[in-house]
Amino acid sequence: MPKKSSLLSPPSAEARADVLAIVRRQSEPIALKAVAKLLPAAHRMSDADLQATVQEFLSASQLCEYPPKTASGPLRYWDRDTRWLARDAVSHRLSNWPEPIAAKELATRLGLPFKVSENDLATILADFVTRGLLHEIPAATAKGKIRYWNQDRSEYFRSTVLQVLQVKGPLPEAKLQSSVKGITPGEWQLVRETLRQSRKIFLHPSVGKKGKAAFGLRPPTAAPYLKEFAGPITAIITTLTEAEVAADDIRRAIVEMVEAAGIPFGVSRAATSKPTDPVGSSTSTAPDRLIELMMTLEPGAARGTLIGVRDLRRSARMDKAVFDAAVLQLSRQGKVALHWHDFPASLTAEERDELVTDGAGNYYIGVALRTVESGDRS
Amino acid sequence: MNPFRDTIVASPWEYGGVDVPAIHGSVLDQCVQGVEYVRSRGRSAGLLIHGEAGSGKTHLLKRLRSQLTPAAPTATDRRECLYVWVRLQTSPRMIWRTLRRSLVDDWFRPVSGQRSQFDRILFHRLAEIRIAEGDLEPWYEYMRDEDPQGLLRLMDQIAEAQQLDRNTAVAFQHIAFERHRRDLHAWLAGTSLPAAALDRLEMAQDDGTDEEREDAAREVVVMLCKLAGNDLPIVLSFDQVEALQTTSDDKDALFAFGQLISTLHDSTSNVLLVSSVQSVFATLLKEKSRQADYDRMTSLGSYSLNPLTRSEAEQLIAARLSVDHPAIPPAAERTACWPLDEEEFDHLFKSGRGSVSPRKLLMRCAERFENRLHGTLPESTKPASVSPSPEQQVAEFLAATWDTRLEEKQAANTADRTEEIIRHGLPLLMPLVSPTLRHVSAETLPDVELIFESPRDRLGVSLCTQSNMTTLAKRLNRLKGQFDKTKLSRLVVLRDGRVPLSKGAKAAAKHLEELQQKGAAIVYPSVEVLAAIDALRSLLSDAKSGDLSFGTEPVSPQSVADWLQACLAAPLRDFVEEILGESRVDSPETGADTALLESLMTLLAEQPMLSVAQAAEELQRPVTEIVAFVQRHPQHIGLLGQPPLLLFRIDSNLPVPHETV
Repeated sequence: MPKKSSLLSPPSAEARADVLAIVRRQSEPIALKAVAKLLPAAHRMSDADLQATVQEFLSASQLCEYPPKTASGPLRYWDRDTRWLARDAVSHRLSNWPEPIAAKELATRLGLPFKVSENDLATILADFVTRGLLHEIPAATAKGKIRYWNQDRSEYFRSTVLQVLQVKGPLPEAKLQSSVKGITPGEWQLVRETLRQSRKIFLHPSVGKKGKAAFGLRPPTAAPYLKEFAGPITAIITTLTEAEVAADDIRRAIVEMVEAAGIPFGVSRAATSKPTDPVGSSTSTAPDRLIELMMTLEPGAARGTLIGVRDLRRSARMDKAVFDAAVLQLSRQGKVALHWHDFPASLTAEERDELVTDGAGNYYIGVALRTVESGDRS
Repeated sequence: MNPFRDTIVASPWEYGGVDVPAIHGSVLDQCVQGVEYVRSRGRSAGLLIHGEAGSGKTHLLKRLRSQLTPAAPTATDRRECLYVWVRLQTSPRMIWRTLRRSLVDDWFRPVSGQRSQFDRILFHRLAEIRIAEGDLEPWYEYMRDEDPQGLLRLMDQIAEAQQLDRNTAVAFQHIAFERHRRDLHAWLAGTSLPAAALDRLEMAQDDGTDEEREDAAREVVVMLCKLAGNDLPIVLSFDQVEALQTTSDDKDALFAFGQLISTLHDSTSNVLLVSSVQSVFATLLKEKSRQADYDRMTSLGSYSLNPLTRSEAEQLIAARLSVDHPAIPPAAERTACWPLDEEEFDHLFKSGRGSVSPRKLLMRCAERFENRLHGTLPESTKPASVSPSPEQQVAEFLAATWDTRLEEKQAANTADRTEEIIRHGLPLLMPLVSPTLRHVSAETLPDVELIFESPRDRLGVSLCTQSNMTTLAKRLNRLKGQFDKTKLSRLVVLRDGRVPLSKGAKAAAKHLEELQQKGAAIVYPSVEVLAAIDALRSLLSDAKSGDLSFGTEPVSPQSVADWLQACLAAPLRDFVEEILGESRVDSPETGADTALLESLMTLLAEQPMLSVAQAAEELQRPVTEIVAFVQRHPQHIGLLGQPPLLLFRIDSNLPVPHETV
């Protein structure tokens, strides 16, 4: 039987171990009074002994001290450092959060068993922003608060433009710009041109004299622009038919006129149209973008730190085929080394899908820039 | 001898072998610069190295070790440093004890035929307070032999200057006077020592719960790092970190490793922490570790051992061919990729062929070399009827590897390794026999190291293998309080027959009997079972770390687990059944049985073979009772000959063959 501690004798080793175990069992910091209540009868101790015991664990860095919950509340104790836990939780939560999020909302979504104070959260977020791991994104409304995301402002603005066009269809430039909150004129120009060059948005010229130029997710269709010519052409064809001009003659004249404008007849459509395949167009720039992204994502990338393809893919926001092709192209060029998964069969189909595959049964889990010292690039 | 055959570096402490400085040379430079960083800044730092299976992680550590460890005769004016290799084939809950043992083993190891690393520390510390006039070594020998009091005073000065705790100061004195090296090695490594040995050493033993022993190991490691001092940086290299994980989603392992790194990073000022992991595991570490731990692990960066380029591959082949062998054509008559055909070599570097690691290239070359030497067909071109299926080949390879490993483990098995073997190996073994069992942890049962849960039962295993009887008695006493049917449906007290209760250990015997009365089972694994568990964990750990290859391909942990499950040695199966209480073999069923077994083992520990009559007289029991008892427990004690019968200790190195499918 363990000895019962008296007020005169110091707490036994077992009693002290019980104190530590009780604190460690908690899902959040606990006050001394609550610890005292949880101690088994055989190991009860005076407040002073309990205070001294906890002080001993604090000195040995086995416990941490936490401020009171309220102004008049008691100090609390726990074996975990909540600041680091909160930091981990923020990092984890924002690593795959699909859109910018305000600090207040983030606090409710951390899924931690304890409350993270506004000040602590602000410090963590500020630190992440300073280190380039998070970016400040303008508030969504006039009264809203600043938001945080793992993508930078440009990426946020680009995705917002695409979302707006997806929902509302083609919009005039001024209207489109105003629906992207917080964007400066300079940023707008940059975003607009980047999206146009990457063929994510297309300029729709104005239709008729009163129409306004607009931007849409797809190239404009021809019909609305030609509509105004339908009436005059019909009238001319009627006149010519009444004058007994042969139908073949009329057809030939129309064809010659259209061909003179640059649309040849009798040639397949595919041969005349400009390439619009997103894979083909994107792969020409995607590898370079990936290299830049690697340097941004990982400060040690230049000296060969491995970057997981899951992280890179998530940040690149490219179509899977484009991304895989770009990574393989960089490897062929000797710019990066690919690290493969030894046992892809042990992965689920979803997990394999996140890796880069060369179609020959090889799955790559990471990519590292080849440094100059690492040999030739032949 | 095929110059390409040797493809695995088992330990950085291996000597010799071929090296190509250009391959991964920049990563080696980073490690060396890391040591200089630690030395010049006086603060610890971390560096992560990652690469595919066979990329040469352990080889790089070997290069680092051979570049850094002192190889020349003793001198203290040289910029030296210390090296430790930790292979993490252990339980996450014993990680500090494993580090402690590895550090102490490595520091007692003579380096390049010279003095040990502990001796190097001694000379550096002595040189700090006494400028050597002439050679330090002859002076030290003179002091030790002719002026021991003077040397003792110097040792006291060192202890005071370094603020060493009492145990470390006494241990350092023993090193200086070359006293009790064996016991001292055991004490520093954390092995439980009998009271007589502790008295000789004038040192106390770590005592307490599992967690307290882990804390004690941490304190010893930190203190030993302090003992080395800032002018002797220590490289702590961690290999096979993957082996800490029992399952692929085992977060405890990542947490324990992260905590270890952070503590060492923050509590020492002279350590370079080099962690080497597989690329797959590197991405997992980054995703799942605590950010603070990962930051410390990579405070000096994270470096990739990239697959070979063509030029590196050619250099590696050339280096391996730089030996005399009648089958190797002169350099002028062969291509840079010989024994491979140029077409095959080109094919290796084409996209869609995966990446080319050094091991993969060497295995391919080894195969082609054999073909050229003996004119045999490459394995891949043999007709199907001649060559067995790939699965059969892997199974045959695993069977052969198992036999070799088992032999090694049996030869090396000692009682002080039992705890580590069981703690790490049993969670790997149990699911092979009983797939519904899940390994869990419970902080409320600090003396029950392993807990397995099934939908119906909760089974605890407590390792009571201490050779210090006072420590053992305290532990058994605590265990009585923790064994409660509401917490555990079965408790197994695991003992090692080579460390029986001594004659005077009355308290330990009493507690053991009481535990048995409460329903605990006492199990004594034989040496062959312990060696087999050791072989099993080493095989699985190597597979997890990508260090188990058949041909050019690594063997997956799942393949090893499947093979073990199908071919598990009968003694291992029996052992698990004994733990589960489903055994066909007899365990000692009552307290009296256990007491008799322990007494017989104690007698046999002193005298490996003795007559039954002598044993009966010593134990004051009838001869017939002893004979009947031994016949009921043949796995623990041997019985030999015609009357007069002899008892003998089973130190069995009998083979534990795998079952054939």
